[in-house]
Amino acid sequence: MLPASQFSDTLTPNQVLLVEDEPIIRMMLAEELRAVGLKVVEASNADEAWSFLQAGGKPDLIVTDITMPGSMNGTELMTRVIQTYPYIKRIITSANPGPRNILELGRFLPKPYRLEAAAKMALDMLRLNQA
Amino acid sequence: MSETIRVLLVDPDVLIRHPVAEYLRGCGYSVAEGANLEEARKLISDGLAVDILFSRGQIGFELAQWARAEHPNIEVVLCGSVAKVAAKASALCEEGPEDEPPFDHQFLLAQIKQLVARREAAG
Repeated sequence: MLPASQFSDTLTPNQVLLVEDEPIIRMMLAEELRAVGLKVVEASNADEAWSFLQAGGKPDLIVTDITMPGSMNGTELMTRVIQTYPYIKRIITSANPGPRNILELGRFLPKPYRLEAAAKMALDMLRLNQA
Repeated sequence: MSETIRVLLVDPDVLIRHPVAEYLRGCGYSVAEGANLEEARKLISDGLAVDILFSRGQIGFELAQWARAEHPNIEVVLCGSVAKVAAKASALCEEGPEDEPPFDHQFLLAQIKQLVARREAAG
């Protein structure tokens, strides 16, 4: 877990929409992100994430896996997000990103990752890291 | 009550699951989230220590049957309607680690209804 000193606290925590179909990974990363002071919405697939956005959810950052069940995968979700909510920051994580140039869709976090590294990348993207 | 009590909240709708999970976290529970029966079973079978299983509808009913057979030590809170979800979350808060729920459960219910209405309006 990142030391608290690396996190610049704010009155309104930044919100992360975490999209991951593997419940253990999702729970562990969500807990790590909450531990560094972020507010986390857990979505079990891209459809749920889109549903949250359509309901007016306003995450500052989306962290998504690529390969997930449902009507769209993580790359399709990020493509929609870029078109509709281009101001939301984006991290894509996968063990197998595929041939598409993933860097066009967001910052890439290869799996397996250390939870601390994932949280650090989230904080860096939200520019909350003091280190 | 000072020790952390773990709730596993299982609901297939993120617009219900997320506000309820945040509400329960706000009154001091440690909350894990599952979107369906399979996720809940996987979390518990993989070793997640759960004190209270909180769910609704058919998924909740099936989970309760499974938990009572396989994990009889887990307390099960089953809800029917979304209104019941808010009310039972409130009741759980009142007996939970903190003295007071973070806000009135009617406000929680209103939050959920607003989110669902916005999604429906967005098509």
